[in-house]
Amino acid sequence: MDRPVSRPLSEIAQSRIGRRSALRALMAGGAAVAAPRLAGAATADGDPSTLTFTQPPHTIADSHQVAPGHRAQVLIRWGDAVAEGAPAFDPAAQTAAAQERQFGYNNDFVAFMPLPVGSQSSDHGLLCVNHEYTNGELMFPGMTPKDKLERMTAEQVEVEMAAHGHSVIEIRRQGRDWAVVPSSPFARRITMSSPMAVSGPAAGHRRLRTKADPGGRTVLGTLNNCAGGTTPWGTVLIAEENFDTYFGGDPRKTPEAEALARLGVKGKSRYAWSRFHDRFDVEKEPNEPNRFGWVVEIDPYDPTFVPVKRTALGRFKHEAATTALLPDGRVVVYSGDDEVFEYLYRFVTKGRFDPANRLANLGLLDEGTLSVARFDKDGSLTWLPLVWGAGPLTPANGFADQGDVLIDARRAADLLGATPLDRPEDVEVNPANGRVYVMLTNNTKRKAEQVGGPSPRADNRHGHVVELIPPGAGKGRRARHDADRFRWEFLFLAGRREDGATTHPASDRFGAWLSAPDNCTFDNRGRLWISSDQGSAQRKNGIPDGMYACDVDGPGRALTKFFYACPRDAEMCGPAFTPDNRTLFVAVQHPGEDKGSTFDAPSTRWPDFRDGMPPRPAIVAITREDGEPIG
Amino acid sequence: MPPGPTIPAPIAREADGRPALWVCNRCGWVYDPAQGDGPGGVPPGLPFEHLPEAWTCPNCGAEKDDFIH
Repeated sequence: MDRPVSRPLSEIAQSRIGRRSALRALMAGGAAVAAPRLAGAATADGDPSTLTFTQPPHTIADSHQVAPGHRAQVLIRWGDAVAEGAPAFDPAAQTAAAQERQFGYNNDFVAFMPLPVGSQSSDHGLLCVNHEYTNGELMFPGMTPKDKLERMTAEQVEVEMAAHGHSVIEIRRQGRDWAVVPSSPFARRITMSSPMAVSGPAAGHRRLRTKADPGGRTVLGTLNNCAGGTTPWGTVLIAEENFDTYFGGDPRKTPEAEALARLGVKGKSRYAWSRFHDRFDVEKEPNEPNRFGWVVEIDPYDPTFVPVKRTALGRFKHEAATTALLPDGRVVVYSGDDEVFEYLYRFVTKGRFDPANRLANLGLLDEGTLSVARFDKDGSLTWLPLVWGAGPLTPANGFADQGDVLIDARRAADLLGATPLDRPEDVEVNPANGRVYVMLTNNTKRKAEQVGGPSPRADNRHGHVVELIPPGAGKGRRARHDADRFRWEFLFLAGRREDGATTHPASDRFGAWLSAPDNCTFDNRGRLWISSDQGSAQRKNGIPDGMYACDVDGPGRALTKFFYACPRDAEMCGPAFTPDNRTLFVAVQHPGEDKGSTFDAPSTRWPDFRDGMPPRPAIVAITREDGEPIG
Repeated sequence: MPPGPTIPAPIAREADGRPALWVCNRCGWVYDPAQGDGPGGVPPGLPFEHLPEAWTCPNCGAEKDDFIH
């Protein structure tokens, strides 16, 4: 880790925060209590937010809690049937064959894809869900974190591999409730045994070839898919994140030693997979890790579609991959690299979206320009292209071709002088104002001398949200997401007031504080909905993870309100609205993931609360009792 | 009486004898004693067992007890 970590941009950060805070103080009378209103403010009691729901208790509980006047329906849980022939879930007798047909573990990204394709239907569609990772000690009886690596059987490893990946289910709203359509022709599981094609500049690259795949063009499976995105042509992008944690063997003994080290592959896994599968032992198959860390495209409307790893988008720990359509039809994909001191990336296609021929767009993500963000001293942001042969990306620095640049995207970005951030997670374009919102979850390792620019706090426990402003952004305008230079602002620094939070001062009276912004989405009015992931700090902070929302424009800007609480020791993922905003789907991930919590003695048994049934990650459909749009 | 020579408390080791690598059960980040935990942090050379009890995962903040090997 000898790369440059930060530049002295602290004065810029201070002035930018200062300006925003001053504006806030002006808006709120300089005090948290008074909050005098400006013209257009929403309610009679002085609440300047346009969000009118009442907050649920901001406390950690065994079950979930939603804003009063709303329903939170558990739609599908780990182990429920997805594919035809799935047996009933029996946690005491799990098999890989069953899990291959059942809903996987640790649901993360959620996309609602209307049926029929291309419609704006809000009561019938496909739900596309990532299954990021597995918690062995919560899935199987008789196991603890300390002994699971030894105890895990071959069949249990197969179950874990089948519990990873993705699910496509067909769902329909009947009255007030949503239901999974049984035996749907669209239903499918994608797991670690599903063949995937590799496309783009690194397809067939010598460093992607293995004994099982000498051509380097077919990979078995996809793993650690965190968030994702959707494309204008109705496909789903899923993003492989912490792939390093699946590999055993000693990377120092392989030709890939340096490249693996830059990605954190150290040969110590929290999974037992390498005991049973040679491809997860880097000494036996040093190129296998190079086949993960990509963005994968899936067409959920075609159950026979072979998923494609799109190498043009680069290889790193992708949190997500979200798109924007340019006025000329080219498409932009944003993606954060979710680790402390990592970077923010953007891809711009060469070709143009063809709205008349859906399937003709399937090669669009194979050709274009990948860039990485540098935050500059004057408050602007410059996109630096990762193009082989340009600048430092040459054979002299170990890049033989564009394939090397993409496989080692982090190393290329280091050489270009990209700006290291505080865990860039979800990055989403707000369709209402064309601005781009970056969730920076936290970074307790940032030192005082590394503070500056978009990273204004040392020991950043609570994270923050940065707003990128492309040229042309604004209501009713077409933002130029392909521009070389953007501007940026802070939306807010998270945490309590005493932690230096810069949320709207009236949050203290009308809203709630939050920590660790992770995923996000927007409603039809352009308001930001944020899911949080405090990890093990949840207990320390004393607040649950869940859904928060705020205005991003007007007098209620950055006034964060609390909407939904996860059950104990869960993180919140995957917020996705139906087009009519009357349903919000959320993913409750790893309920009960806490120290000492196991299958046999979990910290919660949400959502079943039955003896013998462990906690189950699940998708929740939230609607309003009166059927009106949420918010 | 002056203290006699002390035998260090046993630590977990890899098969080749070096102090064990430990992995965060929350996020998968690996502590390698040969590398320490990054710029400005724990210097290289400290076995996992010798890290302060208040040490946390540099990537996700999990506590020391959340690590396995």
